Amino acid sequence: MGKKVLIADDSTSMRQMIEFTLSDAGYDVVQAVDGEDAYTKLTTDVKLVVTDLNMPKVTGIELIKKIRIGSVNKFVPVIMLTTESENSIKEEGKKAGATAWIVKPFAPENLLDTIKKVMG
Amino acid sequence: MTNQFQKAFIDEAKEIIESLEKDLVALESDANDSDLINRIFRSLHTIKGSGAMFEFMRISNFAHELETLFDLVRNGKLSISSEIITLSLKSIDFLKDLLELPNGSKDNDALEQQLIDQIHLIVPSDRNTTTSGGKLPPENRNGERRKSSVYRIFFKPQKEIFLRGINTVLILKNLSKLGKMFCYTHESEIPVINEIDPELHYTFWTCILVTDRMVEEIQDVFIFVEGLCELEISEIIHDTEELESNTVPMIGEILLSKGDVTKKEIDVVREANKRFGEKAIELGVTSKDKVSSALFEQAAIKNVKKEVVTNIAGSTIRVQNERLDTLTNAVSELVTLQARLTQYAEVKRESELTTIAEYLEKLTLSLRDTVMVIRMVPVAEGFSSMYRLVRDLGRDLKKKVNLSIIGGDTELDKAVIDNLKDPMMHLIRNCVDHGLENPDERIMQGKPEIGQVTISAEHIGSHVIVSVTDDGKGLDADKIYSKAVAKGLIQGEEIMEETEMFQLIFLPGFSTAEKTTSVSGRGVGMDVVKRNIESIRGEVSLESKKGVSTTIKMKLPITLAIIDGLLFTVGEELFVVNISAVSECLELTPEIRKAAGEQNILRLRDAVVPYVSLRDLLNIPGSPPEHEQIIIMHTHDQTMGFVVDSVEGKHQTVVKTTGRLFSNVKEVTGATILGDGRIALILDVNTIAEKVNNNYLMLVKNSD
Repeated sequence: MGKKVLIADDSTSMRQMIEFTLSDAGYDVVQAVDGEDAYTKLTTDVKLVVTDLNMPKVTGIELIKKIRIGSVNKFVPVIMLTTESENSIKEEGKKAGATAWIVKPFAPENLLDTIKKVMG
Repeated sequence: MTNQFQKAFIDEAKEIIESLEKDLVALESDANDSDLINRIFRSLHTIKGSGAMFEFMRISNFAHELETLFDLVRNGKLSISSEIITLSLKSIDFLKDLLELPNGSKDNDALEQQLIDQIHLIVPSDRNTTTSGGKLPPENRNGERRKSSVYRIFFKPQKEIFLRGINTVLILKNLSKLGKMFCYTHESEIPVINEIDPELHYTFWTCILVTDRMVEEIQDVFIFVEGLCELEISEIIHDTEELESNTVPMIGEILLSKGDVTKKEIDVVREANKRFGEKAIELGVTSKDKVSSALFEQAAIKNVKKEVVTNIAGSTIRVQNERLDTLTNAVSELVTLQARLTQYAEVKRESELTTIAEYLEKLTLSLRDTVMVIRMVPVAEGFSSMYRLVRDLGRDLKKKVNLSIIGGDTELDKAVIDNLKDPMMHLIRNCVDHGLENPDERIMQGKPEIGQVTISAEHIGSHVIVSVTDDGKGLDADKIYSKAVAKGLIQGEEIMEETEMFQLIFLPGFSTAEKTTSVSGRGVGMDVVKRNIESIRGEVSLESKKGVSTTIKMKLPITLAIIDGLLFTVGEELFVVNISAVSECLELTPEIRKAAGEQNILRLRDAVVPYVSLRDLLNIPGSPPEHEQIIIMHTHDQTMGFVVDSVEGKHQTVVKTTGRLFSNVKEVTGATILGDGRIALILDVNTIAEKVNNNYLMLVKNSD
């Protein structure tokens, strides 16, 4: 059993790509299609959350806030997926309690590097 | 992998574009529906982001232009007009076209430019930054290796840092990967136990990092905690090599450089004649925590300095072999001279002289031991080229071979190792060429496909045993026997044990290879290996199990320069043999002589041991004394007695090689000078035994 990683992104192809990358590296991946879905799937055994910021229903920022304020797993590391043009949103995400971020587009190994940085 | 996701992206993008079209049309009738606007923005954002991920840069870039436009709309900086809707729909059509096109096709460039230009007309120019394909990591500045610097990194995370999902220990771990790190943990802010809030972070750190990385790499470790901690990275020593000549900073200096105390305070504290740290705390100038941290830093720098100094001074130096030989020689002479002095002092019985002689003896022996140690080299050093040899052989012979060296740190005299190289190469060749089977053959026999060759070295007494083992087909004793007969090396009537048959391969002119390969079997046989090893007073033996393995064992003296010898006389001559070959000494009594009769054989407990008179063998003039001695010795394949006049005793023998003039005299390997200045010859027992065998012991054996 690898470490459990929760991926929240409304883009199917992105989710698939991340799942492929992470499973290949030995992680167990749980997919969520938006922030709301992600929040319901956040269990205590989730070791890392990777979330997009622009999502319908509950956005990435809102998801991070919800996680940090009294979720079952409030200290879980959260990596947000941003784009270069979203600098202000990135700052917002940091304030909300994101642990790290990675700028799209990224190479799979960059994502793995970042994960190693926050999760070891 | 990319293709699979590229297809997924195209399908996804098509769906998104479909809903985009619907949303845009809907937006025309209700221009202020913020939900709609957000959805459109998000859709474009997804196309842009995922497109870039899957290398649809053209789609991504184009979507970015449109996204920028809708970002303005979303933020109320631009209101929806039918013009915008039309342009957006046109752009969406274009995106659809792009999706149908093979990636990177250069079609309809003109249309793309036209649309972008139109979008730019609406979007203020300062907003429009074109995205590139993601920021490339900064190129590593290559060039010369950077010097090591020492950094002090003060890292104090906010107490609430856990709520950002940050693992501070992991950060320290990552930091320590950059170089050598000494980490001081500040515990001063940890409250008493019942006041501790487990969700808060109380500790902080001062790390001393020795690294040749750039400061940017250190900063990069802290990238995700930027703004969440007090972080101070300062270079305290620019180049660790400076440390060699500089002193380690004083506690006061460290505290000053950290800004923990002022210059004035230092002076005040210095007034008191006490340890700086203690006094500083006492005077309340600084805290105990800060002083401990400074002390820690001082210790770390001291540590680094020590390492630097040994590195610069060099833990090893290279010395020419000749110089070492000269030194060894000089020390040998000195040992001899000292022995003479000791003997002289004993005769003179002058207390002063005796004291000097004794002191000199002690000194000389320790000097001798030191010199011997200098000559010692780990065997691995001599064998490192074997890896390459095995690899190349394996390739040439199409065999899969793995070489392992066990006990590589066992030390041997450099001269021994130098002499060992050629025989080793030959043995390894034999192992790979003759010993190991082809991969197919191995698999058929249920062995691992990859053959294993092992070189091992271990210390046993005053010897080192080096053995070469392969897990190949082993030796075929009968085949060896018949070959030896065919080559005329033996008559074919001898009854031999299997181990004796194996010894036949050491006979000159023997080669087991059926065909001569380029690798081995070119006339250099095992006899040469044996001769080489024996020339450095070593012994070779062989063990083999058919179908399982073959092991060649070499027993080697640790050093060539000094041996433990047994000193004896024959007539006027003095001789020394290596004591490790001697098993016992007995008197040649009339009873033994009588029992032996004409055959020169003595019964030693249950064994029958042939003996030979060295006086006869070496043609030494004079008649033997009444009571002769027999020295029983083990040569490599038999036990034999040597009759000598008298045994003098054990002697630390400094070996002097005989000159070139005597290189034909195989029986004598060298000479040594005794304490009184006389010369003793060192005999090679194996050569003598061989000579005896060839001459007349053979006759004895045959008549047996």
